[in-house]
Amino acid sequence: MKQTVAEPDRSQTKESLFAYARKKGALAVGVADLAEIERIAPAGHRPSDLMPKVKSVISIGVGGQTQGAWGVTAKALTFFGSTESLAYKIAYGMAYYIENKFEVRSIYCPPDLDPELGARYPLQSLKLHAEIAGIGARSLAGDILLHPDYGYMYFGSVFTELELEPDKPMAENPCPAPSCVSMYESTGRTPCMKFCPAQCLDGEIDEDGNQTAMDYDMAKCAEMTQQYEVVPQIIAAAIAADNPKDRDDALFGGSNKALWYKMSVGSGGLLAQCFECMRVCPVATRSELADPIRRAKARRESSAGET
Amino acid sequence: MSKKRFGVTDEMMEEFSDEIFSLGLNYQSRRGDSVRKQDHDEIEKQREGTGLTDDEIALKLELTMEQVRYIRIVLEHKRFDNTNYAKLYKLGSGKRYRVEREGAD
Ligand code: SF4
Ligand code: SF4
Repeated sequence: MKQTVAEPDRSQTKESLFAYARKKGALAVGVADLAEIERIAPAGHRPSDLMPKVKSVISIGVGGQTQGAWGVTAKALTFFGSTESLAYKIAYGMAYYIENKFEVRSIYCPPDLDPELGARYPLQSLKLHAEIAGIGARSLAGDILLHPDYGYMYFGSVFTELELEPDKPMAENPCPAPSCVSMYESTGRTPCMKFCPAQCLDGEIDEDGNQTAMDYDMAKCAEMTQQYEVVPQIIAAAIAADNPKDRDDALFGGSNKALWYKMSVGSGGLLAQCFECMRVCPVATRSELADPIRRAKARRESSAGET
Repeated sequence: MSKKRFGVTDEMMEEFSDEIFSLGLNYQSRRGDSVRKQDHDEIEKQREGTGLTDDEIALKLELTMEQVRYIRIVLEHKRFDNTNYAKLYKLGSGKRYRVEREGAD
């Protein structure tokens, strides 16, 4: 099995992978420098910990919301706000595509939690892959990655034994947007900090409009975004209840009852449920290609310019 | 996972809880933009702020990795406030969270 593509073919190979991802619906694709990820990720969470002979990490970004989604209730957005399943689907398909076309071992990188580490440590940081691949930069909103053209995206990764030329991280960070800098100068806060319902964001911006500090209380954010963490608590409360009424309250009170529905239908409404920081973020909502309406307009204008 | 098996005592829980909780990923502080800029000296300097693994916390606190992991995971469940989630039900469709409205209704 030939594991290395000859030098002249490398850029063509990369282009064919990028074309595959775009055809399947990706907005951005990049190859991360494997050595950089290996150096930055902690032991146990490096690509080689998962796939010992990995040579390249490909990061795929898909669009966040439709434009209409930003205007709906948080209750509704909880169910359909995250679009990561498309990123995973493309990554899964790309692993097959590489094996089929280039006969080189590849995998879809599991986006899941490390089963030994509880509810908050992923096996791999897809965020780190995307950042090093140059398709997102850390924002003041808890390090959510933002893209200057596409705004807010979801990411999937492919690991492969194919050697590909790595891309570079973004030269500039689109966060904070100029309007956020103005707001920060007058109030000491940015929109994401002000409107976060968990009040878990803080940060600083220097005179040149660059981020100097980002502070994120992830535990507080998790209370709004990782409802699956509640399940053991509810069961423990039901077991500890010493009368049927308290047991009913624990299992069916408040929004607890909805958990059983979400779990039984495998609803996306159990994770990534709060979008309030992104809803008010100008990069996420108003970048040139942030949603299908803006992308359609850009396509129309560009084809009009060509004729 | 058992508390006794890893030698985790109540005193140990008391003494190390806050430190273990915040040294993990539960609080994340970043200065500058060192990953994007690939500034490795800064990345190394900031590891404690951006979040440590259980092995790294264990080394720092002179505990075993299993003890750290046990304490951290238990705390992440115990400190999870299930009542905050309902705040989301009132937001969206033009209505944004305001800290000053907290407790008003
Ligand atoms: S997802 Fe929600 S809780 Fe988390 S930082 Fe954003 S606004 Fe705050
Ligand atoms: S609202 Fe968006 S662009 Fe503005 S500071 Fe927050 S994350 Fe950055």
